[in-house]
Amino acid sequence: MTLVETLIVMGLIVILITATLGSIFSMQLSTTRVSDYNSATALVEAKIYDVRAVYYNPPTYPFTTNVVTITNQNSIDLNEAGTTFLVPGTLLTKIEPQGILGHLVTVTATFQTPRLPMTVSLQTIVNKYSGGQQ
Amino acid sequence: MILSDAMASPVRRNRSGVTFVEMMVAMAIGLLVVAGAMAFIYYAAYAVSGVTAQTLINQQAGNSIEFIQSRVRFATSISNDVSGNILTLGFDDNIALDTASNGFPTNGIPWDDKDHFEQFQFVGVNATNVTDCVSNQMVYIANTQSNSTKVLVPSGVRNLPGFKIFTMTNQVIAIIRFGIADNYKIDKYQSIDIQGTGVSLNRVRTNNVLSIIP
Repeated sequence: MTLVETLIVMGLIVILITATLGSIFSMQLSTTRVSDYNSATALVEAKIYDVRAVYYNPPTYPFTTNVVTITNQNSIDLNEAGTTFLVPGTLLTKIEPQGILGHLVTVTATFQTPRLPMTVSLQTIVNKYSGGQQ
Repeated sequence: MILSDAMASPVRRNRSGVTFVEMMVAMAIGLLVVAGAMAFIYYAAYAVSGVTAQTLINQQAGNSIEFIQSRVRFATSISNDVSGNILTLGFDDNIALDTASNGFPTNGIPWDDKDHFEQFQFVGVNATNVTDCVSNQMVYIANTQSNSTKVLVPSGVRNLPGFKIFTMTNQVIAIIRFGIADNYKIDKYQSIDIQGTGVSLNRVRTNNVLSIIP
């Protein structure tokens, strides 16, 4: 085997190892991000449930004739010791009147996750048929 | 008799080959390469193990909170114990019939009976750190009259700091907060935390007035 052949083989092995490590690292990031996404979605869904639980009696607050915006702070990503949440975020709840349809509720969560901030949004319509024994 | 050249000549022919020293050097380099490959595979395997564990607890947490919310939505009553480890839900088995059951008298309303109760239970030691929550579970009991339980999360369930697992608000909203941590330390720290809300659809209007969204 010549030196050139040896160098080519070594180069290929380095590429293989780099690709393997890169794919593993990428998978790690992806699953961690899915974890954050699950946590954030649960919070957004919780806020949707909170709004749906409010007695729908417009124009009584929060189902007024104007757009109502509510901001809450929350955090996700509990550390290993179980003492501190690592990623802070904001939940923005917007309640917009939609005429006879009722009110459109949009909850958007933005969390400052490492590398790329995460945004999760859910919507629902709330009206007199939304639930509860009216 | 004619001897061949090789036999005829006492001088050894110059053959290609490796010396003992060359062979030892080659073996040492080979060992290094194999050791490096093994180390690479070893750590790569643990990294993949961590990825798999994270995926698993993501699924467990997501499924659990969705399932709890779906059951709370159809419950006619919601309650929790003092420790916040047990969430008990009452259900009406026949919405056309007003029955007296489980200590609740008839009230003329057919769809708010408590004919059977279901429970979500945190089983284990209340803790937030990974080490103490290794054997903690989340289980579902489809009927409190039976001993049959379904394990939703088999291990690693933990409290979130300062919160109980199940909290009640105004008797119509169940707030569910828990985390799951992977206790297999070699593949590093994997965890997820879930904070969700379950609201009973079958709630009376008088209980339906909340001061304002928390």
